[in-house]
Amino acid sequence: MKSVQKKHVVFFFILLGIACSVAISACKMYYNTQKVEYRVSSDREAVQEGKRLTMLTCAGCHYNPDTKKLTGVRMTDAPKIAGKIYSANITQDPDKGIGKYTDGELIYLIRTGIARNGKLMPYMQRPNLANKDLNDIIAFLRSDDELVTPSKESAPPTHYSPFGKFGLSKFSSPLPYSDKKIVRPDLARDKIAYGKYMVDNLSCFHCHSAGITKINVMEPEKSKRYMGGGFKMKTPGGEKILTPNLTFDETGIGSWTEHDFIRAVKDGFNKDNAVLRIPMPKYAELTDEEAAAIYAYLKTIPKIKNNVPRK
Amino acid sequence: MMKRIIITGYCFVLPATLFISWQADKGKKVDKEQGAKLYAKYSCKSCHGDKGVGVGDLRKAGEKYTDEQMVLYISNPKQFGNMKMPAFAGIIPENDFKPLIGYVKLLGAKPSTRK
Repeated sequence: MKSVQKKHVVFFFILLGIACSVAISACKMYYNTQKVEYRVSSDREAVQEGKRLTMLTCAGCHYNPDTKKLTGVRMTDAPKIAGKIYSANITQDPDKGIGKYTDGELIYLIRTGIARNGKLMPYMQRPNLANKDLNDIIAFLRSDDELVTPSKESAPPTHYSPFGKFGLSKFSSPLPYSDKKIVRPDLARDKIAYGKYMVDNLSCFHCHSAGITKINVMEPEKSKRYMGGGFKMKTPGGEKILTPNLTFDETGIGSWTEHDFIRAVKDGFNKDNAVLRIPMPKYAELTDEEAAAIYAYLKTIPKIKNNVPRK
Repeated sequence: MMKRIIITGYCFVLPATLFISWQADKGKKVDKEQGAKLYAKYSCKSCHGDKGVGVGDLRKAGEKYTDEQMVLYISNPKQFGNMKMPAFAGIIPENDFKPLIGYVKLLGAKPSTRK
């Protein structure tokens, strides 16, 4: 009798093992790439604006305060169960950085989330970034600025756990490549559209909506609980925090003045003088007018009642 | 006579020394406790963790910078090339810097030298 039971247990574990291997092998992490012909157009102005945009859109993940370069850091806000995730070295080093990328490969990566080796990097996707802004970012990445000159001081390579691989393949996919012309709205003529563009491309909605698996990258406003906060995250120091509600409900930023908001996004302190904790970046490179445009746009989106306590 | 003087001396000097060193230790302990409170209050912990490791490694801050430089760094990190840390000038009152910096320097100390 005991040996029959033992056989059942062994059989169960064999089946479980097969099921796990099938699930893991079904986790698609690599995709075919498409060749994009592009040659960056660079001048002093493009590099200068590219640096500002890079600090706003890329530095939050890639800037390392120890090397003072874009050499990558541990993504401590990623759940531990997903594995050890590091942002990449995006300096010009050919081995550790992006020195071997062509301009076209960089554009393809930022639009679709697929790296030159076919690996999916969904957090890189910026399908609605203006063509000129994308060009300027690449112009900066090719420049002689110290932030991007070659450095081998990389963060270690990312190792996804089986759960991480499964989650990545289940909840994210590459975006289709499109070479349609996208233009950044004119701040002077349409402040609200400009604010919306910034919320989209600074990825505010990634963290301030219901969760990273519930966002719509192509159409951010369709994300679940758009800008209503309450997404559980972790600071690099290991504290568990909830992202604030950024709608104009009284449980959100309804009582904030434009000045409070500009100070928070640019200087990193809320209206009670408490520091905004990482993963929230400090957007010092935004102009006051740009931050005010985000404030104006947030006033126009539906209010969400979601009282998120600061832990 | 001489013996009596020595014994009397010991009776006063020894307790006085012990008392002074006890007070000094107590002061250090209070500073450490206060430093830890300030480290949490100003959310240093959220980026640099309990051990000074996180975004930016604080464990060698005491070797790299003098106390005065650390005050300047925390007040305006951009001056030191740190583009992402918020500037705490006007947020941290002057009196809080000393215990806070003292605590930060302890993060880099070997466990045996931490008091």
